[in-house]
Amino acid sequence: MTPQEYNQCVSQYADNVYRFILKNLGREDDARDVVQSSFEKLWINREQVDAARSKSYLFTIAYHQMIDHIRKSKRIQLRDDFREDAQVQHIPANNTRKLLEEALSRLGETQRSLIMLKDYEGYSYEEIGRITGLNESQVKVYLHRARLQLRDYIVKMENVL
Amino acid sequence: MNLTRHNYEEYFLLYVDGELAGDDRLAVEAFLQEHPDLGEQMDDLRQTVLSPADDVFTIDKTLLYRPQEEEAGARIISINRRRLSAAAAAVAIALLATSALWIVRRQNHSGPATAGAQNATAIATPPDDGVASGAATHHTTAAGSPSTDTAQAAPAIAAGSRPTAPTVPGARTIGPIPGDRTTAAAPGARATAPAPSNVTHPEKAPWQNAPHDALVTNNPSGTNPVPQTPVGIPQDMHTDGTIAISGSTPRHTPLAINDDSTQALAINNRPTVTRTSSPTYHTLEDGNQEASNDRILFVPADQVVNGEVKGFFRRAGRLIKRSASLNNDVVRPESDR
Repeated sequence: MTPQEYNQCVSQYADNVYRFILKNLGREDDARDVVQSSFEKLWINREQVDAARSKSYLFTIAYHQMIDHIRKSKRIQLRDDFREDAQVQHIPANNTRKLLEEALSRLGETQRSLIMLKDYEGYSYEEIGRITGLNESQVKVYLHRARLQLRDYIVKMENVL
Repeated sequence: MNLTRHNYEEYFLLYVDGELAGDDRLAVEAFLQEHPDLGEQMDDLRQTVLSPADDVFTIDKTLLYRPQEEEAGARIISINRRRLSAAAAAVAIALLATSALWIVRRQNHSGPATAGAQNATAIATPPDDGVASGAATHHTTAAGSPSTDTAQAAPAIAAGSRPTAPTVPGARTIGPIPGDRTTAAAPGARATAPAPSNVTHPEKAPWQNAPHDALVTNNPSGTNPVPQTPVGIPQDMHTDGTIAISGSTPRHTPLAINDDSTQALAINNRPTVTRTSSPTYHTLEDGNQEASNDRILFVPADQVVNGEVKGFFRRAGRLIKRSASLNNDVVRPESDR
């Protein structure tokens, strides 16, 4: 990957990675740090990265950096403070989207990441497996389970409202 | 694809995830038309799909962009130049240290060692008037009769910590232990000296050409062809604690030490003796200043050089340890925090 291709990768995928990380972490500064460190790694390893696979490589780095960040945050027990700041994130316009965001926030990091990688980025099960380190069957099972949990929550809340 | 009312949920999920190919997607859509009551199930699952268009976030990309090819190359070159200059400085320092060490060692070798050698030569070489150097020469010039034999001047051996006895070429010596590191031999000179007729000739040294070329005090081999008159040794030689040479026959013990505590002996293996047959015996403790200087200057020279070399490496190791401890002190508080 040349520096030009790297900069092109920044232009094309920086926002996508930032969204993926921000909706998982809930804090803009943390998401920005993870994105910057991910692109830093991509720049360091640009000689070994094919430009055609730069997006998958970038999301793989970002995903693992995010997991490390979440584990570190849980270890120092600042999760509650982060959750207060998490309200800064985008609020859905209609009720269904709001319910979906709430349901999504109730998922675990892995299931939420699988949903976002599938819906936002359109990755296949196989590609999601490569990014997250899971096999294709696990991705399928986890993703279907997460989808059903989201459905159940939305249906349940709609019935309550 | 066998889609039934029992397994439709999995296919609906695959349909929502976009994992079905064209025919399978059409099969699911046909199944939904056949079973309109399951359409609500499909709608509920479709609600779980996130829309990328609804959630758009932007990040400041100026922090992420990198310089182009030329700028990146220039930066790399500058780093390489810095490393190259650091390596050159290290090599220069190493060369300076090596040259300084070499100069110090050379000075040590050429200074005291040379002076000691010169002094030893001066001691070993008898003066032109035919008298062997040192007071012992007078003691050992027993026969006094001139000899025309060619005598080999033995190299003077000056012992640093253990004085040695004077001896003559080919004679057995007392004092210096073979392999003793404190014994240093200085090359002597070859001279022609008159050999007394009554001098005992012990074993023949390899460099001796005449059958009775020098005063010998010991003849362990007993192959001396001509029995000689024993060499007379004055009594004061014994009181000085030096070697008393009294052996004249092959069966007689030539050397005797009167005082073990003062076994200061200077060995002249090849002294240059002219017009006298006196052996070049002398002691280091007879007040001979030159011999004393030999002991001081010559013998410790190697020790001084070795000590300086060891001291250099010891100081270097100490500096390295000190710098390492400083680095640890810098890192430790951060890690403790």
